[in-house]
Amino acid sequence: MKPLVFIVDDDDLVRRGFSRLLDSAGYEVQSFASAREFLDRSHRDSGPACLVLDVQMPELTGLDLQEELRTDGAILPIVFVSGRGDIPMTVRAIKAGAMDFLTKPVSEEALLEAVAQALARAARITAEHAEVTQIRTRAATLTPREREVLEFVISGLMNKQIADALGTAEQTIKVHRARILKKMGVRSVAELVHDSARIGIVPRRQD
Amino acid sequence: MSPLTVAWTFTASACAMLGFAHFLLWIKEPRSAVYLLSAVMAFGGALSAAVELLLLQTQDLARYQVLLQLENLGVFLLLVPMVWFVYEYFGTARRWFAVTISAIWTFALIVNFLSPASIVFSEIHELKRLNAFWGELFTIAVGRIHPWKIVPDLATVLIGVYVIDASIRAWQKGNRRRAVVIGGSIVFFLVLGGIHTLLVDAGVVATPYMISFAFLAIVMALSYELVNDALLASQFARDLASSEKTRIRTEAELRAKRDELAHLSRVSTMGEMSASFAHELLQPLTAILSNTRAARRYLAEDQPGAGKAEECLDDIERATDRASDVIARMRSLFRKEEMRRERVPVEPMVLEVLELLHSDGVRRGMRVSFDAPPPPAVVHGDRIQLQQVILNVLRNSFDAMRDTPASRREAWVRIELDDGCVRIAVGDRGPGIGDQDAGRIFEPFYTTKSNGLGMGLAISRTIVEAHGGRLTARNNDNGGATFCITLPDGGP
Repeated sequence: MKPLVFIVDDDDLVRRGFSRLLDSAGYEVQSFASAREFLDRSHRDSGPACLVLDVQMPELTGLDLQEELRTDGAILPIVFVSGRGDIPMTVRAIKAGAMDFLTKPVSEEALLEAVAQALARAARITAEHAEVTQIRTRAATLTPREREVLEFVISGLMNKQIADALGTAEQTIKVHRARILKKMGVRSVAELVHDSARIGIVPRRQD
Repeated sequence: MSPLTVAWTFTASACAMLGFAHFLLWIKEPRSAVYLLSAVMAFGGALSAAVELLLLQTQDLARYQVLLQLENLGVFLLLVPMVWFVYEYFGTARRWFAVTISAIWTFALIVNFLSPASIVFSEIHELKRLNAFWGELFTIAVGRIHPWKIVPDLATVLIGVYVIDASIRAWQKGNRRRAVVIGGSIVFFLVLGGIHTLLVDAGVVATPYMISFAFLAIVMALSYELVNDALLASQFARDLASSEKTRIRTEAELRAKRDELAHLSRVSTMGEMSASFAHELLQPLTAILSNTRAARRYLAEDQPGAGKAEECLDDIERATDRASDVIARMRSLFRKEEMRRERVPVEPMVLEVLELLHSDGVRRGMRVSFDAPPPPAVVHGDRIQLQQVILNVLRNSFDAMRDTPASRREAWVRIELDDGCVRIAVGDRGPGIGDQDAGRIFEPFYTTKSNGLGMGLAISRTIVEAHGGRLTARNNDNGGATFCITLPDGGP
């Protein structure tokens, strides 16, 4: 599947120009004449993608759209394109998480480079996102008791200590531990610690 | 040739010459009765002089009597037009008096022609041949005075009174020169000629009739005044023409100054807008660049995408056209030339300004709406200068809305046709015009902006007024201000 690039620019000629350049570079391109038009279409489930966004547009500007996407929680790296290299505007965009800020006329290399980076980041984020989702799904299959045991395990306690803390037999904890590793799809406690950290499971310490 | 012949011939021809001159003046200016009247007077004088010459030479009684009748005709032709000349020329004479004198003289003339020996003699006893002091012989008549001779004599006295009366009133009115030169000479020569004639008729003095000499003097006095008038009139006309020339030159200079000022203001506005223009050019340049690169890539593919490359070329062409348009518009605004008078369709003119301001407006978050209900409006004038006014006013609106919340930053341009006028209204939702600024915003160097020169609206108003229109401003009921450019309708 070709990587997807969105273009939002109110100027027909510029929009078509970018669109063709990215198309010729092998990207799948979807272009929109306004921020509103872009927001109105569903785009969240389309996999790794990035957005080439014009700053100066009537009604909603590029910066407004960036703001809107951020509050929506969308993960979409943005490459800004502007007619003028206005420093405060650039700072604002970058602070709000823009990948790049290009000034017109944009060279082929700069645009393709920025888009490639943005897509790489999108891919990375998407992959991370997928992993975390998988870990969450697995963690959700744990019983409350297993979850409790998991928290002791990742804090580095031995089975005996856990059994004492929970007032149960060491053998029982041993069975729990094996089942937890299986459910979470990991082979070592080290991996378990790593995955738990990624989904925010906090180790429980025995006082 | 004898001295008598020379003297009377000279008088006759001088009178005739003046008569012709005045007659020509009358032909040139038929509404001016004084020329016709003075021409008739001069011909009357010429007739008198000619007849007097014949009178003093003839020795035939019958001929003498006819000549005497003709002599009185000459006198009539001089005196009656003279009465009316004074009436017309002075404007102060009494009409009833002039009518009375004319009537009396007409009566006398009728009697003159009905009487065998004119109105002078009821009977002529003999024709005497007398010696002039240098020995030349001339004829005079001896006879009984006509009883009605009193009538023309009385009329002559009345003319004197009439002229004196008119002269005094002219003098009182401040027309002193006319009163003295015309009134004075008429009375003086009338008295002189009249008395001499009376004495000759009565046989007291033995000289020929010399009434034509007096007439020549009067006609010369009139000519002098009329020529003087004509000279004054031509001088006046010359002065008028030269002051008209000065006025035209001053106006041309003012116009040139106004055009120059308009140009300067335009150039300064363009300077302020240079960032926007750069942006307007960057857009097509960006399009050209990316289409070119895309086309190269399409053509470099294993199976070259000629169709796609062609689409790129189409857009490159469009972008080039657009860039040229931007440059053409800028160049026309930078152009410096005197005000034109041409037919300007309003809608396309306004649309061009809106295009010019498009990126400026977008950058400043302005929404601009445009409304031009049919029929299409047309004005006459200078397209560029009118665009300058709209540009100025619309940029003022943008400036006014600098601190207006983004959601309210709206400007609108509306073209309206109203009762022989084309109105271009430019409104905004800014703070409106403050009370203390209301009367002054059109004054030069008055500005409410921190970086303004205060020339924009002053020049705009001058331009609109030079087009025979008005530029006015008012606050809207629901906030903001509206500027109206009202111009005379230029027809369909």
